[in-house]
Amino acid sequence: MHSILQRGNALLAYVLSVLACLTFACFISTVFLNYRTEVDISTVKILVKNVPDYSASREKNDLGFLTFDLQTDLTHLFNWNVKQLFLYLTAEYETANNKLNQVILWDKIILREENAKLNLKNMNAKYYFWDDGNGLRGHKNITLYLSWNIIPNAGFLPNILGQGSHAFKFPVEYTTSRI
Amino acid sequence: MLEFLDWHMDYKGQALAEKLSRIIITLFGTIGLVCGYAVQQFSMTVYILGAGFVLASLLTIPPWPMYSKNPLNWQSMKKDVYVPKKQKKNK
Repeated sequence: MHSILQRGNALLAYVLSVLACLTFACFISTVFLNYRTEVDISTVKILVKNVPDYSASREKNDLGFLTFDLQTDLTHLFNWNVKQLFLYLTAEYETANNKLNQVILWDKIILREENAKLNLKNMNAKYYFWDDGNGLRGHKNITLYLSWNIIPNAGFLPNILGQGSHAFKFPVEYTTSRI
Repeated sequence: MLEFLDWHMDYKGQALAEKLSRIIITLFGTIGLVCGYAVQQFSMTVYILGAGFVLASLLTIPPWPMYSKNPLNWQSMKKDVYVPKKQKKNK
């Protein structure tokens, strides 16, 4: 009885229990923090085209193109329970087809050691801005929001909406030339 | 073989080893929590706890001589007691 293996087993079990407690303490110390912050978004160039969407049907749908500026400082969001941030830019608008459309245009991962002070100028969207019909041309109120996921060591995966948005209009005429 | 490699601790030694391991792990866990919070790096906490685990393993898992200071005093064997011989197995 009480051999080397038993002592090692008891020790390892206790270490793992302590580690679980420490992880929980880390979670508790950050669970009530406010992760919202100011974001400054603006658009530079806005176009809309009417082209066939082969990925859905062959009908011609509206496809928006835009470039944007983005300024925000997310450095203070990082703490010992944040491994990385996942930022994503969403366009929200209302059409006759749908009460609420949400299209993700762009995203970015910021790791702990990376520079979290963003000052992006004239950025292109990463993903296509397709409408499911012809709702974009001449639309007067498209709103851009920046949101982020906090990827923690332990605990919840909060989805935070940045403070600040930008509303813009699409042109009344389709662009037919190549961009 | 060396005597301390006997893998044996007496009862008081077992209690001491367990108590010592609990104290070391709890202490390193607490220090790790404070340090990790101070530098805002949870991996620091985990590494300090790991160091405590290594230290506690070295100090309390091998049967060091300090855990064998209270051996049980067994009664000495009496000579006229009947000791049964090993029976041969029937094949």
